[in-house]
Amino acid sequence: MRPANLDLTTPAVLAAILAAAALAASFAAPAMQRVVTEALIYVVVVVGLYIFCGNSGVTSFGHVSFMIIAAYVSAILTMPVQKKHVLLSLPAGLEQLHLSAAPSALIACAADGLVALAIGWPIMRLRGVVPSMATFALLIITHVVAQNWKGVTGGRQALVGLPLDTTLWTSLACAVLAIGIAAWYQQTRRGALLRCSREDEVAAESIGIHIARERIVALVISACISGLGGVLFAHFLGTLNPNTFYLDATFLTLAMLVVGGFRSLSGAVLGVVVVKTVSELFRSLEEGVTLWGTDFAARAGMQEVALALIMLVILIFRPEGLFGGTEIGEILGRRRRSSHSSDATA
Amino acid sequence: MNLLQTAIDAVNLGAIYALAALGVGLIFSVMRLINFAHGELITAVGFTVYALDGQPLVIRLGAGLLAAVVLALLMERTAFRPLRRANPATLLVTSFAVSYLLQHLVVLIFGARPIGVSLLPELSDSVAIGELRLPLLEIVSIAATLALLGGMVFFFRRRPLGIQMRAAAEDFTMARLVGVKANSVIAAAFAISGLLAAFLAFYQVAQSGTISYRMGVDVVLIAFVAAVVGGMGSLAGAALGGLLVGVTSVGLQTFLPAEWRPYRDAFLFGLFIAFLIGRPQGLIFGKAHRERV
Amino acid sequence: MSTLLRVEDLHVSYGSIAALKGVSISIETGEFVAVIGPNGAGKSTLLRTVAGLNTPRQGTVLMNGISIVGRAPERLVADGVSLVPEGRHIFGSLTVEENMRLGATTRTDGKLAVDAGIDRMSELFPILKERFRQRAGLLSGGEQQMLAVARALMAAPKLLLLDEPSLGLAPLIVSALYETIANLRASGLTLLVVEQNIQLALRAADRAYVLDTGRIALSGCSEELRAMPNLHQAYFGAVA
Repeated sequence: MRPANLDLTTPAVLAAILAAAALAASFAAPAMQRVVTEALIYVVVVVGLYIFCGNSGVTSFGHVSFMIIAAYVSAILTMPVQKKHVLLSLPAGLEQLHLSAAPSALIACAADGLVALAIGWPIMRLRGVVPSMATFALLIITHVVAQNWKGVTGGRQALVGLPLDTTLWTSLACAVLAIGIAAWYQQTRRGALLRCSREDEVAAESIGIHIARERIVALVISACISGLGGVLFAHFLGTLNPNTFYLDATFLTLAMLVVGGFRSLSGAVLGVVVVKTVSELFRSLEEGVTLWGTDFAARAGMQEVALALIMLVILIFRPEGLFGGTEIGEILGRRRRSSHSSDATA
Repeated sequence: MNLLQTAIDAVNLGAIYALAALGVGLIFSVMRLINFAHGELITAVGFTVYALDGQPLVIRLGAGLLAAVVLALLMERTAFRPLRRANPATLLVTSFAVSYLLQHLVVLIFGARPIGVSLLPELSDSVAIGELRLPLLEIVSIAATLALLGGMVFFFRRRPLGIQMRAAAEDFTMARLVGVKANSVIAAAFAISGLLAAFLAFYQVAQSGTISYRMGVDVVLIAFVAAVVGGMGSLAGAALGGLLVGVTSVGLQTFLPAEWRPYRDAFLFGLFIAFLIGRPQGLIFGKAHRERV
Repeated sequence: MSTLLRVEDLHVSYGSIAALKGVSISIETGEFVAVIGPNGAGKSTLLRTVAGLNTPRQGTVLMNGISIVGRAPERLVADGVSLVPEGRHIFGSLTVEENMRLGATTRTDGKLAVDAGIDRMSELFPILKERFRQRAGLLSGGEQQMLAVARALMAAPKLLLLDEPSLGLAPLIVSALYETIANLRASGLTLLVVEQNIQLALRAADRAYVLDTGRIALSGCSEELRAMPNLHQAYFGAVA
């Protein structure tokens, strides 16, 4: 299944960059550590999103549902039994169940995989923008269920007391894992087949590519990874309510993917870095910053407006994103080759 | 008698959703763009009406109408025209971004909290017919919607621009090859969708008495469902889809057992997914869906 | 006789694939010129570029000496260039009458003139007159082709571009169509027709260009080309 020229550079470089960032943050103030941890979690989520959208070309508005589902599953499994008894009404076995972080994360992601399979099976046959609309419907359905199923999710009430298992290093590890899986998948034959269908559905079908099947495979992998991101988030915030992951999160993660360039893994990761930096900038501006003796404070809403404007500018002037669909490995490979050829002529 | 009341509610909601679906479907049919930002047209009208509180009704309504049409045309000119040849996925995400941008511009200017607005309080009374109590607003709304739909039918059948738009919806390139101006048709589609959004906004503000930066979101989601159900690219289909979704929604609300009622929207969207699976091309198969090989 | 259309060194690409690699043709007013060649030669691309659907990378298209490159298709219709693309493309959900009236979109000479145009088309294509109020989608292939041509003629073009008008039509209908078209030359119409059927093309047209893999391979009067023994072998395979 392995192609002739395996690109190990891209995941290695990306992992190295993230590791460097984590290392730097570990010497910084706790506030900065939180920012970097959150960014790493977003890397997991957006890489998950990329695995599906980038390879299939289908925009998914519903990946946040996978985050919600995994987050709640993990919450139920890891919350202190006392709290569960008070906030939720679960069957006795489930209520008494108390697992540690790793197994519950695994179960949560598996749950996502099953949901992805169930929803993907009928939907991924559809053409054009219809599957995207279906993912949007999935988002709404998940949200409505989460808001109203008081016994299981606590309804609109926040679930509190989630163990804060997400550290800088666990999120780094998960980010590297996500990148590794994404890099592996897109270099398999399956991934390549899916990308054929991205360019031209009709042509791909005519040469026998089973588009629905490839999409489902990508969706399942992608759901598990985005779900992992959801779990990380829940155990980073310590609380969870249905609005934690809904339209704003959907927009943010899509923006990260679009800005970096949704056709490459490097783009996905870069997008997270850029968008997170911009939003952090505005967040601290909103808290007020003193420059040259005057106080500046951005108003609420400015961050979102700025992000939306950036996204629109990219979409209009550089729709392929900042990275334009190329991988770091390709760029470095080209430089190496051109420096070799200049050596040859010297 | 309760059933008749429910039926009238269903027709009213269906008519509202038909207008919403038309607004979305019209733009899709000429541009392959699903305009998430349609909801923000409604929001713009709502806030315009609020800003002119105290002015004569005609001014408030007229300004609201103008705001919707101008914003729609502005959207088209700045965000969507540069992307006219882009693929549907890019267009989709772009309209999502425009929607997000406008929502948060409202937050920036007016804040995030809902604001109370009084519009047409005279219509909040009900009229008693036998055992029925019909809200005046509902009666006016049904009448206005029918008039509007009738006007649109006339426009699309009799007016040259309307016929050009129908042709463009069916085969955009061929329409250009017979001399139909692309820019005119698209601008007209946006302008009309602005008009429809304004009516929706008037109803919504009069009925709920509040405006907020998210007031357009719910209607727009339903509009997509309706437009897809009806068959994207077919205007009659969009209207029909709206009616169907409205009736289904009221039906669910009425006939679902009480514990399930909060999940009404989940059911609605679940039915939507089922519909997508069973009949993805919609009720009235417009040519828009078929890929041009 | 003046030169109505001149194409000079046209290079057109679809992405990285070059479809036309330096094509030059010239058409006098009132001529009937055919473009023939194997599949994929770029014949449709040539017509589509003249009609404004493609922008060339290089080269010019001149109509009456004025460059029309880069003009929008709808503008070109007003300028007198009408394209009937391959596959008919009538508006199936509109009536025959609506289709025809749409053809007159760019006319500025008033309702009476347009109505006169409709009458004229009814004379030329009587079958359409019968189906006036029917949905165009219900017409047969041949009728749709006639409607497509009638619709294009409603714009009162100076230059009519036809892309594969005979494709998928019965021979009887095709010859009737060609007869009608040829008769229109009397009223000053200039024709540029892409045609798969070489016999038909060389019988009806005054001149022809042979296009092969994006270049003009051959050109000349129809009699000359008809007389060439290896024309078919060279460009269309063994089957004549």
